[in-house]
Amino acid sequence: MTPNDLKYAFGETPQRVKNCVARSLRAQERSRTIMKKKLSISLIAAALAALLLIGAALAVSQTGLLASWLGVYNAKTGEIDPDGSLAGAIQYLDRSVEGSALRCVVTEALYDPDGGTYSLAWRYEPLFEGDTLYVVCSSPTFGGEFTDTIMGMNDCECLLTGPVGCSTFGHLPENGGTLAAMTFSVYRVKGEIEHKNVDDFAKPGMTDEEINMAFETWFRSIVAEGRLNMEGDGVLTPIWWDKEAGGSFEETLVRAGLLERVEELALEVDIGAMSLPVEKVMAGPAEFTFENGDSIRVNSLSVTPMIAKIEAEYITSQPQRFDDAEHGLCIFVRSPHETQSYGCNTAFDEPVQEEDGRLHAICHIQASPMRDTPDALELKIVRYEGGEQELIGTAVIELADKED
Amino acid sequence: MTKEEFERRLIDMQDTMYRVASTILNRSCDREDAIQECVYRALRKRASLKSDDAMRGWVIRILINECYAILRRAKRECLSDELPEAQPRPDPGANEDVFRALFSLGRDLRLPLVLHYVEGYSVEEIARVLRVPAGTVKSRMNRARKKLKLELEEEANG
Repeated sequence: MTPNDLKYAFGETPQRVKNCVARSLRAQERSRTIMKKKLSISLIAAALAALLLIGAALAVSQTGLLASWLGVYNAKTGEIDPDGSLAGAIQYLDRSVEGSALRCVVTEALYDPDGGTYSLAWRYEPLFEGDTLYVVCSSPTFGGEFTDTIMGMNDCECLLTGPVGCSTFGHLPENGGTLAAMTFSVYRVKGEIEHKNVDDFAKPGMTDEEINMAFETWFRSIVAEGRLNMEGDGVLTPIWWDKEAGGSFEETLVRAGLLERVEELALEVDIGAMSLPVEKVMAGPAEFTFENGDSIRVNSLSVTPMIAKIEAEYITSQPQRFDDAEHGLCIFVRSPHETQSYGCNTAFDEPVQEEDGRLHAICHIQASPMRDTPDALELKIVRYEGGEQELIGTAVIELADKED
Repeated sequence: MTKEEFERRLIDMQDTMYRVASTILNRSCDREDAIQECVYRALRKRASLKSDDAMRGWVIRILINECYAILRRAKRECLSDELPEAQPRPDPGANEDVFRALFSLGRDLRLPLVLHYVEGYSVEEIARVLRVPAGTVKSRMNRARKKLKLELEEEANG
């Protein structure tokens, strides 16, 4: 064997990977945020914590969808608090648009200018019983500006036979706008709908790829028979479409006779009528030195009930990489209550070597959704190397109300 | 480059993206996530691409960053769940001996090897993609070839 034979180490690119490329192209085509097939593990953990806290199903209700989805609890007691700072700031709205087949109504909004985030909840209500609709929603724009989504539920596309609740949690635009514009493309499903997930094809002893292939084989066969498949959460299993032929994914399905275009609905809603009331900041300078000599200096920390933003400097005499795949540091954000940890992102700037030889790196941490503003936050710093992890230390930072 | 041309070239790169993601990530769902996120980011950041010729290196750099981000997230999860890392498995149609030999190498060694011998990237391109000096790429490839040879000899000898 020569190195040129290495290509034989790989098989054919699976259809599911091509579908992923298709999903991203579709998302960009509609200039909206991607519906990730799989939420990041940290976000699932955060959403799960919210669900456990509230103890309620994500069913459609007239109000309270954001509270259910993001979770409301009191950071001082760790208990559910329907009147907590996040719940208290939810604006209940009734902004709707009705077409010939569907009514869309925006029911709730959260506006967090201090944290630079917002959240919206809306509901789809089919007007005719027995109708199966496929709704594609463009993510909200503000004065024409698209923003990044942190997490969402049914926020991009949704297959529905009855009322369905949707929500999104994202960053506010840089232009300072508060008027959110949304559009909804409504299609009627012509073909029969199957309801299978890839896991339904798993049998003992099968590899992931064999399971995926079994699913794909089945899926191709039902599409050839004019049927579609809905995977668990209201998302259509994507069909790879020929972009050379022009048109979007939905138009391909329309041409194939699987969907019928019904209408395009649009509405605007001002989310800025009420701001989240509480923001906390560090009570004082925060610098911590750990047993191994490493230290962390927290330069800024702000917390709203939606998001915590932390900028810190990490200084170490260890010759190490900060966030490589195999070596690096993880910083977890936790509340003093052990039940609460947050989905968080940590990013390190390129480290700089100081005159004394120590490495110095700025790190940026975001944790969300916070659901309340605690009196303290705990940073847990862990070094990983290969499969090994080592706790370096924890730093508890006291918080105080921000003074205007 | 027009938007349509950019998209077409991304689609043309999907096999390369899959092989690079497979070189770094063991789980198929992670590879799918990395590729999906990479394409999404590439489309969003298209304006920052300085020249059309740089596209294939630029896209693969984005993909490698995504793969490493997924590995970092997995590390964090392992801290609490202590889940063992999934073992790589050959795709249907792959040569198992070649697969085993390649994946006996560490990621640092197998990535330049795949980029060069499978995807046809030059040493200079790989150096830019991996952000290491060209000499480092050469030495890693040299070490990788030696280890690969050893691995295949051991396999041949049973």
